[in-house]
Amino acid sequence: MKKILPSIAGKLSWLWYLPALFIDVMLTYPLLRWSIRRSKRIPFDPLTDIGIICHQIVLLAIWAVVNVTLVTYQDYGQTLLMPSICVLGGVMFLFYFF
Amino acid sequence: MKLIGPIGSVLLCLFKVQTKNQNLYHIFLMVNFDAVFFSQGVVDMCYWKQMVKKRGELANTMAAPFAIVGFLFIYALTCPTNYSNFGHLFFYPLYQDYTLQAFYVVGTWTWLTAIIWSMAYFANDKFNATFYKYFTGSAMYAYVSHYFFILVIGVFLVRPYKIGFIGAFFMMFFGTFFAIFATYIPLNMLWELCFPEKETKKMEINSQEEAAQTEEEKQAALAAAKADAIEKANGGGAIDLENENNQDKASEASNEKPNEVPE
Repeated sequence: MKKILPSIAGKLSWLWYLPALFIDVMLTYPLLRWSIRRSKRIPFDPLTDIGIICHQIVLLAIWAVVNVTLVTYQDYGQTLLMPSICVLGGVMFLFYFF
Repeated sequence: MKLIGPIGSVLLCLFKVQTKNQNLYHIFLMVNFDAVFFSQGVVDMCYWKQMVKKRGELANTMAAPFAIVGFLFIYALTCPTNYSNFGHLFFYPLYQDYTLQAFYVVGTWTWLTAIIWSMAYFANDKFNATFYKYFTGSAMYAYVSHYFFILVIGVFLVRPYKIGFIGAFFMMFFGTFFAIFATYIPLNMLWELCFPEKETKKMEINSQEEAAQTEEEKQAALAAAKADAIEKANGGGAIDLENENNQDKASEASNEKPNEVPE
């Protein structure tokens, strides 16, 4: 297992899009829930809506940790992937509040 | 709001480097690109009617011809006509140079938007219930399984029998389609045995269509109220259709508002 895990990304080949799709669905689920609530003009419920925002922040944080931990080559995780997640977070922030 | 996603994608290109043997980095960055596309898609779908209404208003202004010219300009600008600065074929965006990456990303957004708007306008219908059921139902299954069938045909037919390009192309193209549907239809039947198909309702995405339908519904409600008023004015008896107009005038039913029911 320890031998397979580090190289699994390479072995996935064309199947990479299955986990990628899953991760994308997970990452955007809170935004989907938020957008549906706002578009249906459901009043802001502090418990539910702040929970949705917290859910989004936690998901992005977990995703950032995964990126930084797994991609160590020339610090790409910290120097390239981490800022890209910040951009993603910024995009989501704009969608949440405009 | 429509520009947030494209601007985000162009910014993400700043963190794309074409390095070899770092598939995990490419995949993770691509997930971030996809998440931006997903986010914009989520918001666009939730506010679709409002956006269609706004687009309809803009279409009646001078913005309409400028939008067409702008689309053609962006198409010309982002058309992939260069033969250098390529990156890895399977990892989005494909180029090495930042400018090319940005153009490539803008081109993706342009074509995605054009295709989605056009298809929503022209093709948002079942047309044929059976074809619709299998063609749209198998989309995800085809997406996930197509490469498996391509490999099977390539390994067991094309290579052992050394079939030439044209023969291999047709065999691969139609053979994959055939294999997908030949496996999807029985699987779908099995699925529907366990979970019977539910009635679905078309999503109204066109505000004009919705307005037209509302008008039809209003007319139907008016007609129903009128019929009800005539029937009650007639004491619940049979109506002489030949003298219906006279009775109608006599009962003053047409002049009554639909919400008012005569005592």
